[in-house]
Amino acid sequence: MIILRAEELTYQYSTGTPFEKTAIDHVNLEIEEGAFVGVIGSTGSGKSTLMQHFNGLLKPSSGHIYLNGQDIWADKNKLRDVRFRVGLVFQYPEYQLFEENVYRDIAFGPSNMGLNDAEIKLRVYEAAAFTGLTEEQLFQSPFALSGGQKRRAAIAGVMAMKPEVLILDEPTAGLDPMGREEILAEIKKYHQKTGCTVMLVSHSMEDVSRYTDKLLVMDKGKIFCYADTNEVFKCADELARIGLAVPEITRICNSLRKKGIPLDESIYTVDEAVRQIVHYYKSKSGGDV
Amino acid sequence: MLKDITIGQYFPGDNLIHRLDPRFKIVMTLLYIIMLFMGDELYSLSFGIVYCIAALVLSKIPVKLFGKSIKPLLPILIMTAILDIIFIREGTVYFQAGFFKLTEDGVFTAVKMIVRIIFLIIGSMLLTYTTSPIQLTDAIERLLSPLKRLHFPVHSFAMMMTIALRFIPTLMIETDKIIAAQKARGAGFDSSKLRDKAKALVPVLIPLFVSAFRRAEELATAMECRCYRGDIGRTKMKSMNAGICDIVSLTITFIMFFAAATVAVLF
Amino acid sequence: MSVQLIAENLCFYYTDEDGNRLSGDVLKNISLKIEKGSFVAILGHNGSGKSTLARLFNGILVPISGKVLVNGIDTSDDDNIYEVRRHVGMVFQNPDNQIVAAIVEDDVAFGPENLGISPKEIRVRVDNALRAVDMYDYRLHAPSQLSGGQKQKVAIAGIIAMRPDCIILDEPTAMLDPKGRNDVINTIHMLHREYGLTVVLITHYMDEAAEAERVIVMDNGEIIMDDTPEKVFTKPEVLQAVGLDVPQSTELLWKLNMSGIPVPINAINEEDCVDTVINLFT
Repeated sequence: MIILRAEELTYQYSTGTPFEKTAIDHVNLEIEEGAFVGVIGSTGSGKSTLMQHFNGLLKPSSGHIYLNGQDIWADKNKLRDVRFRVGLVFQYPEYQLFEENVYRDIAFGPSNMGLNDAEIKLRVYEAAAFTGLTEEQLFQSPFALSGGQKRRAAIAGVMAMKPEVLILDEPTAGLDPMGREEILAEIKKYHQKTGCTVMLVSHSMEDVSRYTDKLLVMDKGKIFCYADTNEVFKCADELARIGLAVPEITRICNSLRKKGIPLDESIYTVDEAVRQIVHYYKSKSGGDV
Repeated sequence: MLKDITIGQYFPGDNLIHRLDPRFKIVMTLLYIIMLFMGDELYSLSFGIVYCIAALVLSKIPVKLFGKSIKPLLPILIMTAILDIIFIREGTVYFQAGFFKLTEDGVFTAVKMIVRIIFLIIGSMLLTYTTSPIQLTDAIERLLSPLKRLHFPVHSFAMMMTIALRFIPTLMIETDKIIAAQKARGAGFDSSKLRDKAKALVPVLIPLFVSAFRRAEELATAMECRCYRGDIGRTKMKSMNAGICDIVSLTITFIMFFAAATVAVLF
Repeated sequence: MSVQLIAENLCFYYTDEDGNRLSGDVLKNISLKIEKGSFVAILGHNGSGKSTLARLFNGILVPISGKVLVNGIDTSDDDNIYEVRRHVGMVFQNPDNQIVAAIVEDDVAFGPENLGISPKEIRVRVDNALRAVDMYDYRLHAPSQLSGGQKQKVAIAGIIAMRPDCIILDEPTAMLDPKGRNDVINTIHMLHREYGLTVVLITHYMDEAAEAERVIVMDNGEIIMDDTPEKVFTKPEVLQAVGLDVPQSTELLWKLNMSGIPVPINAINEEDCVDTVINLFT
């Protein structure tokens, strides 16, 4: 089933001035319900702008956005409802924390939805569990947390709205490798447990390749490609042309293949590379390893 | 959007007005403003208008820009004009309906008021459009430097203005972002009730303040690392040397100023 | 080669104004020498003490015990502090929060102005610094018109206009996109090559550290490795134990090794890795 659909979506800003720019250019796209989609593209490719259209924060200059088949701009009064159904976590979301404690901050979204206290409590604890926040941390001031914990509290604030689609714009920006790994693992867990559609915007090919099943590649306001993750990495050269580097391991495997080692065209994790090289090594040496 | 505001912006350029010594420019702008408000008759006002238009032509800044900046102020201008027209009841009556009386004096005052305010804005914008913020604060620092003897912290004051000018765009972009992020969590900025509006500001203002303080702290550290210690032993890359152009321009301004004053007194 | 920075038995924890202790030990008895003209990367996860160490090197922080010497000058002596900072420039993570002026060239002039240099000389230094980081064409722009990478290059120009002999960069690329990262890292290498600047690059990106001459790995306030990148990155088990990545080339060789294939873990870049794997089959 298709949960989100963009139809001939175009977004221009500063229209009619010399600074006019088309950020999104006639985009057609269908996102399947329950998918884990990586969104990648260089700065200015329009990926963040597109995401802000999906929850109605930006209004298309022309074209339509459909959520479960309903045009989200058909009834302006229901727009707020769309924002609860398509949760958007901005880049550096910790800059939006404002409440006196983490619990109340996470509860901000759910209480805006008009839920009762019992339901809010349930959701706050559930979201805290997804993001690995402890009970003790829930009643601390958000400003007393470490950088990584603040980021988690902010993500939990959107998860607690139980959106049908969760969009995260660069959730790991500025974190160290351990922090990155932890947050990505938590998002993966959230996706597996809830079955919700998740869209992960990232600059890092390594990150999106390891976690997502589909990849949306944007370039200059257009969709460069939208396909299964392993398919996308087959076109390493084209990606390089639009300024996107495939993971190092993909480049290594491509070089090895050119030198005669029979590896698949679409290797993008170290573990898969190891598996295939070991397999070939065994076959060559008669399986005595 | 907040980003569209052009008041206080600087447009780099290279012509007479841009090159004038900013200290002279500030003094000239002050004289010009007094000129506009001197005297009650159109005669004295016309000196200011002519002066401003001449400067405008020399600066080569597109008139459209000024129009864009004045537009947001139109409602206030129209309000003032309407009030003038309603409450000034002297002079020849053009038209009367019940309490309302359209009089010559009313219309005249309203027109003068609008012209004055528009030219006041154009004149001060011309100063900020043609003078970089740093030049402006440097000039103010130098003009105020006699106050140092009275232990007024002139340098700190100028540095504060420099930093404020530098961070206004940054904080505006940040405000836009925070508003969008809170909207995504269902914060209601659309309600028309004043109480709701005030409440909706909390989730924006707190993160904004937290961020501003964090920035301030980091900036202070970065400035210390660059050997900043107030104005002790400090020099300036851009020295200000008044040239012939500056003196001639100031003289012309003074002549206009006194001419306007004379006319204002005589008529 | 003369010594640029020396840390001797350095200990540090944070205190409030009255000297009461606010944190655990951030740095534990660190001793370290950094040679003039070298390119050193300090690698560690958040909270490992790497940023604190950087701040001790130019006297923003002073040690609780032990000594920091910059070109032989003790940083704890208040009279020397501007001399120390003139020698050791510092670039921070957030490019926005270190630019003081609303025009690029005025910002680059800020440091030299503080040093009391003559206006003519400042002009020359500003122009040269902006050309060095390839931002001369943007000298009249407002910082808000620039991308993150460009802002960071302006911040770097602001430091080199002070003509320091050492530049410390505290995670200068953490907030940048890949293009900005590349741009800034290339600029840093160019400055090291062309001007002989001592570079101390604090980072948690292992690919940036892999290009340094020497890598110092910190964990929990201590130095756990201090060697060439080749030696450091070919010990993936140590790095992963302290929450750091290794280049995927190293990871591949390491995991092949663990699967029982006798391959040396000797590569930290793509080409070497490919060669090592090919050798396995020839």
